[in-house]
Amino acid sequence: MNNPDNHSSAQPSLPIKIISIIGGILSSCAFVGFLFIAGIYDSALAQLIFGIGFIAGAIWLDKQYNTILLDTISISLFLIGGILIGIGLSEFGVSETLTYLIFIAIAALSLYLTQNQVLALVAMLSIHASIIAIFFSNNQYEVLLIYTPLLAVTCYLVYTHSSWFVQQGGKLAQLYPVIRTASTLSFLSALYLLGIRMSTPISPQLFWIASVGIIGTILYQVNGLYKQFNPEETSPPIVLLLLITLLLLPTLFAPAISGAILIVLLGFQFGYKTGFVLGILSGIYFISQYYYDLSFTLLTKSILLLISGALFLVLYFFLHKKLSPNEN
Amino acid sequence: MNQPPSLQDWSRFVRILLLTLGIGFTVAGIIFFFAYNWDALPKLAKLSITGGLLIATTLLSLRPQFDPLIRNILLTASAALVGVLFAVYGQIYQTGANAYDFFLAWTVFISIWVLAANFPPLWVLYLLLINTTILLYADQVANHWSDKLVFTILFLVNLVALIVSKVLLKAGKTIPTWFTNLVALAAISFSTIGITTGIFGNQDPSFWLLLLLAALAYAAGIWYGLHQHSIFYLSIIPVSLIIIGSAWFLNISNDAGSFLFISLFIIGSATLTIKYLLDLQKKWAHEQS
Repeated sequence: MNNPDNHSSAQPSLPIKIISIIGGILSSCAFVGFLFIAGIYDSALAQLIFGIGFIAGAIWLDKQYNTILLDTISISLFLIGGILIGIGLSEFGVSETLTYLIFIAIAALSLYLTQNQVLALVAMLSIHASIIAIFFSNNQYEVLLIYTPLLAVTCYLVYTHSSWFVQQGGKLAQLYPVIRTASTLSFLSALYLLGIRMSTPISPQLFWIASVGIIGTILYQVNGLYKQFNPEETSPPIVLLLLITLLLLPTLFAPAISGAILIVLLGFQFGYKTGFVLGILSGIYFISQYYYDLSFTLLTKSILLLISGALFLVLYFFLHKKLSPNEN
Repeated sequence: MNQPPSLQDWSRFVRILLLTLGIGFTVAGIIFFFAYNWDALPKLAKLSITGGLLIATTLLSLRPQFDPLIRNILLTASAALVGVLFAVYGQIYQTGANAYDFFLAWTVFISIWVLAANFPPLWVLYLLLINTTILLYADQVANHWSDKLVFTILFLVNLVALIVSKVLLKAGKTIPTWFTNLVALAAISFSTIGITTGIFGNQDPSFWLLLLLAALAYAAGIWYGLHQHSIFYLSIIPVSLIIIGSAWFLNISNDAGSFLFISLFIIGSATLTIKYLLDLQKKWAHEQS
């Protein structure tokens, strides 16, 4: 499982990409300020035409030059184009859902046309944001409970199939790091929607639906790892899987926590530092938020925490005893 | 982290994860427990339980049988417990202290551990405490300090931490890059926020001082970046300058034309920066080969 990042030493480094993204976002904000003050709202048709023109310009710049040098301007054009099209469509009285579907189509088309990593990332994240916006604008918040585990499975597949992407060659191989970043960020953002209290009006009693999918993905990953280290065995002992399920069971109503655990494990397994660190930071946040939100008395909370703490420590000492002699 | 982890890497990772979670949950559980029947506990019990826990964690961290990383995690937990102990003490005896006193005491009392352990996450906690102490002091005691002065001080503190880390690094100490990058980001965020606030507000002497210090630090940062081939410093400084420049233009005029100009200014300056950095990267790669 080679890390495809390493093959491309000629690639511009991360800080440079971040400058282009920050620059693109800041300049499109300033441009939106310009639009507001100048009051270019008179003609919806003009907004649409300019919007499409801007996005076409962004893609044309990429096709023509595909250099990180022009990334700032192409991201800017892409975002401003999207905003203009959105305003234009709403002036025409197009429904929100249709507007987001058009966004998805535009982003997918851009993705199909562009070779550019940064623009591809922005396009993929726009698709994800539009999908969520469709759920929310139609008050179908509960779909998030299905969508989030689907993103977990997507992340798992993207992380585990890096060699497949590289073998496909061409654009898929070239865009692999971007696909991985986009799937991680999309999954994390969905987790934040579930993890932050009151950010969605989903009844917490339904959260287990998302957890089942995510915990299932973790178990599948453990299964794969077990087979990797014990090639002669077909499946891990049922006790191991049961133990992991038992450990994850307290997070049944907090899918954000098991989701963060999945990202941390995948990040560790495939040496993806950004995902690993984001997963740990989000995990700490989700756990704190979860205990803060529990509507138990402090005594019940403290007992729950102490029991889980003791369980982790027991497991730690058990593993320590079991594994230490082999290592020395 | 580029090689796929071996079975040993996994077992080490899982053990550290379990230990961290175990210690974290247990400490949190104990804190919650006290919080629940806090009023019912006698004073001595409150202090001795917190103190006992602190001593136990510290003693455990001294056990040479443990992995150095695990000992450092334990010591970081005891550094956190020092804060809990001060909070308990302050609550029992109603010392009437300001919140900043509490953070100051916490900072001072863990100094020796921080120095002795020399564990980067503990240093992060330490710097966080110093920054919090300054912020609270400015808020509760030094009300007359302007925002600019507070940001100047915060900028200076983090800058000094960064310079000291770099000097130590040069002297052969191992300091992870993420640590120096984090401190540099903190410092440059404070200078950027301070200068931007100053541009939109009134420009008192501390604003000019911050401007001067930032100019010197940015110049030194660019020199360092060029000298050490570090794209990181050569990226964050231009981003800060672009934000400051945009704020400056916006302060001069905020009509439609100036927003359009700022939009173009950001695109232009970011593109120029990227071009310059790409050329540099090429040049460095060329020098190496």
